[in-house]
Amino acid sequence: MSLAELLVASGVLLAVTAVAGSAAVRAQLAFRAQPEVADMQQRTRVAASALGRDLLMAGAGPTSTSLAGALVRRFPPVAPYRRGQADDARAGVFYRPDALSLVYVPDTRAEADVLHAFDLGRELLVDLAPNCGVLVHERVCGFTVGMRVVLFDPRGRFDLATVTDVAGARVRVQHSGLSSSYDGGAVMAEVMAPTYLVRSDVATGALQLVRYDGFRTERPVVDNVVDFRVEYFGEPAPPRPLPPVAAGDPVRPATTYGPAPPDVDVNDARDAWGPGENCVFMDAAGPVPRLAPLAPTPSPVPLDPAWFRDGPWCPDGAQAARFDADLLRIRRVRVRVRVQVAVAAMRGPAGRLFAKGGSSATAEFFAPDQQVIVDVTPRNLGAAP
Amino acid sequence: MTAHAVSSERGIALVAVMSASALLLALGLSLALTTTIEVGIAANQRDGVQALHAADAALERAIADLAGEDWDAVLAGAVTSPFHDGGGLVRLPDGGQLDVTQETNRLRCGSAAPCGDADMDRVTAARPWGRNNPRWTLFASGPLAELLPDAAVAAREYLVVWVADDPSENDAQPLRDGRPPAVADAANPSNPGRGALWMQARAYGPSGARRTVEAIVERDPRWPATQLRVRVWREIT
Repeated sequence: MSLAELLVASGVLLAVTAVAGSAAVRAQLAFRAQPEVADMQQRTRVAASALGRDLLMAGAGPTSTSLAGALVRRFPPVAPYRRGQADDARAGVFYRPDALSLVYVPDTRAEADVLHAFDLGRELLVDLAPNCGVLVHERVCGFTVGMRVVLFDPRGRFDLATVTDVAGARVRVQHSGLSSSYDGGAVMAEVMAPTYLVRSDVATGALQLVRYDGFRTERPVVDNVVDFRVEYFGEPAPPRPLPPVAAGDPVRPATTYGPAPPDVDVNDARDAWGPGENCVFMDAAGPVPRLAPLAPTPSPVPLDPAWFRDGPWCPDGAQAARFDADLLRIRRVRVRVRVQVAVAAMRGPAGRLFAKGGSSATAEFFAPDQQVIVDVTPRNLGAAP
Repeated sequence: MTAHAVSSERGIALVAVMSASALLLALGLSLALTTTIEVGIAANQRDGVQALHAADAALERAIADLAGEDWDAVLAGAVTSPFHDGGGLVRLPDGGQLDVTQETNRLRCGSAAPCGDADMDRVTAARPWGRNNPRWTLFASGPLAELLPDAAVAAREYLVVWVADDPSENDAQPLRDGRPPAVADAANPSNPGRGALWMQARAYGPSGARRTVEAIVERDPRWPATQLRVRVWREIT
């Protein structure tokens, strides 16, 4: 081999090696980025699955108590703030763009009418009506220690509590403050009351989507969240009272949504509204809704968050555990969750692809943020026809 | 370079090729594993979501078919939905077989074997109502593709809908709706379950996907007889 041939061969070898090396480096960068992309997809799937499952069930009520049916006929099962033992409403916060709380009664045998209730401060002794038996309902079934329960009455008051003791038909529950005495006419049932919200992960400083169980536990659902937004769509028509089913029934037994007002001339001493009135209806020769019509359409319309903070308040404006009656309008919820890759070296400059910029300047090493939109119309939020 | 030297380097190309092949094989397998797992996860989620919506569709169809019927006849199994292929032994989209009769038995008494009255009336944590325990009756069944008027829809789920007397009944007659209480006293002056039925709809999808929804539907004299109201809707997990 001559020197010229050797130089040419070396040159060709170097050129081929350089091209192959360049391709290999790019391929290696892409290969390292792809598992992170897959991880982001997996996180968005987890978020969609968890949120979707809870949202679908939102508003499911008891099946066989005197107040059976969708919870939205009594109180709002969807709220834009944290509810439970750590309750935003009791602190005067009635809207957070990054929080979504839901309430529903799961598939359970633990639901019964309340006969009597005795308030012992932070505990309530509840005597329940029988809910099971061999021939007829003759005893109380289903309630166990540690179970989370909801107490609610026909006037729109509700509270979450935890069962601490079960002795026959008498159940002791622990609570963090009650909005009603629940002494007769109320219902107690097992409940799921999750709140989804974002918080900062103490270990990494990144945002996490967490599911608060309404009691003591905040369980992480998805890491490295850069955006969590909830939009609400609602019933444009105000509520209206339904006619009695049969002669002899209460004159105002039910509404299309929201708590039914008391009968004419009946004044509920536990709220500030006048006789025949409640937070949803005023009385002017008949029940007149306090909520205004929003649009001449039956389809849900976007709800302005400001409407969730301006009243009318239920049970009334003086109660610590109050809620805005406009929450009863919610029929559809849209949640956006955006996640980012955990490694800053796989994020480029902040912009459309990245909500939070990283250190990468190489496109092959980019793993852009991913977003999932969960848009759910919960079956149990539908108003009565 | 001598002939001996050349002969001593024989096979080096094979070593180099094998090394490169092994490296490429490892990379390829790793990539294939990653993509296969991801595709599998995504497909399972899709199948699960489709099964949920299929079950809900079956429930809606059954509610529509129930509206004008005599519910005593429905509970006794004498009247079924027009969407009903008879149940029995059916082939599922994932190749497995489903015995609808056994599934019905599992709902009625927790066992695949035929249930006697004593089995169905036994008080358990899940069925605490004794003589008022639900006796699930097959009301509708068939492939989702046949539920829809447009058969061109590529739907692979198999659907089953059962009905039963609702859990608030106190007449000890689980195959009849809303008779007077079995023991009438101050605590049971009437039957609150009158005019209400309990329904379960289940979809069997590909890859073992199964989703079940339930509803309590009720008649209300305030609405037309053809319009049932869903008192409560739930997914059962």
